[in-house]
Amino acid sequence: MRKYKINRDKERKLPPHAVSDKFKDFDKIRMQHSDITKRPTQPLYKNKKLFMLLLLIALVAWVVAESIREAKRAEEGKNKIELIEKSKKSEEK
Amino acid sequence: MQGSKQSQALVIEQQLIKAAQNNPARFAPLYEKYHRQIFLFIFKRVKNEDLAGDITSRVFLKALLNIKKFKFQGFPLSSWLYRIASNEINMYFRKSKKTNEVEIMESDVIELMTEMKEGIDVNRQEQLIEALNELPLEQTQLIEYRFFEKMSFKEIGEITGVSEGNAKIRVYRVIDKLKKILKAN
Repeated sequence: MRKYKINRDKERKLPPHAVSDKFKDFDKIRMQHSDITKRPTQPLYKNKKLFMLLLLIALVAWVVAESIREAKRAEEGKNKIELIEKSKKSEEK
Repeated sequence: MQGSKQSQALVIEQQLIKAAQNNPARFAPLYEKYHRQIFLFIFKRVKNEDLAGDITSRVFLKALLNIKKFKFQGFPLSSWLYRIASNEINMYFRKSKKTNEVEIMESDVIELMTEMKEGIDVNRQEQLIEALNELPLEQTQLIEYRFFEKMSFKEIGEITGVSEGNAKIRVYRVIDKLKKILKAN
């Protein structure tokens, strides 16, 4: 929430240059900037723990995808058998 | 004469921005140029030197991180920095849940009231402040930029992301709204 107030003093008291200069440090900002933007020094595959974690995630994802595919295949097979049986029955009739 | 000086300054600024976009280390002259201006803009709102210094650093870090995205459109870089600073100040007050008390110089209030063609007695001034306190932030910010920060409509347009003409219309719409509130009171 913002609230306004009138300053009836003749002049606004602003910090002198010495105060604002105290906070002026371009090197610090440059350092923070490079910390944020620099690329990681170690490549991903060289970090054993992270690499194993990623491998595990990929493995789990592959297993899940395979089991879904297998279930779909089984369902399709079942449907095919049902269709063949139905056509056999209609032929017998 | 003054116009050509201004355009020359803008050309130099454009070159400085281009240099900073190519190499972040070259942002230093822009930092030197605008640090105090942005520090004071923030200090007037937070009224704490350390906090103003901290927010100023964040503003310049954000500016440095995004300087490559900055497109020069004939405005000084300060407009863009003011926009970042305003967002940072608003974020600070939202997070801390503190009330943002803004001090306005009496002379600035009188200037605004003259523009509104209103009487300038102390009572009326207080009523105007009450009316300002009723308005939403986006609207009071326009008044702040124009009458308390003495910005041009061009600069206000740049900060708020609208054209110069649109900025003027918006400012005068807020003035009309203030007049209506004062009348109702």
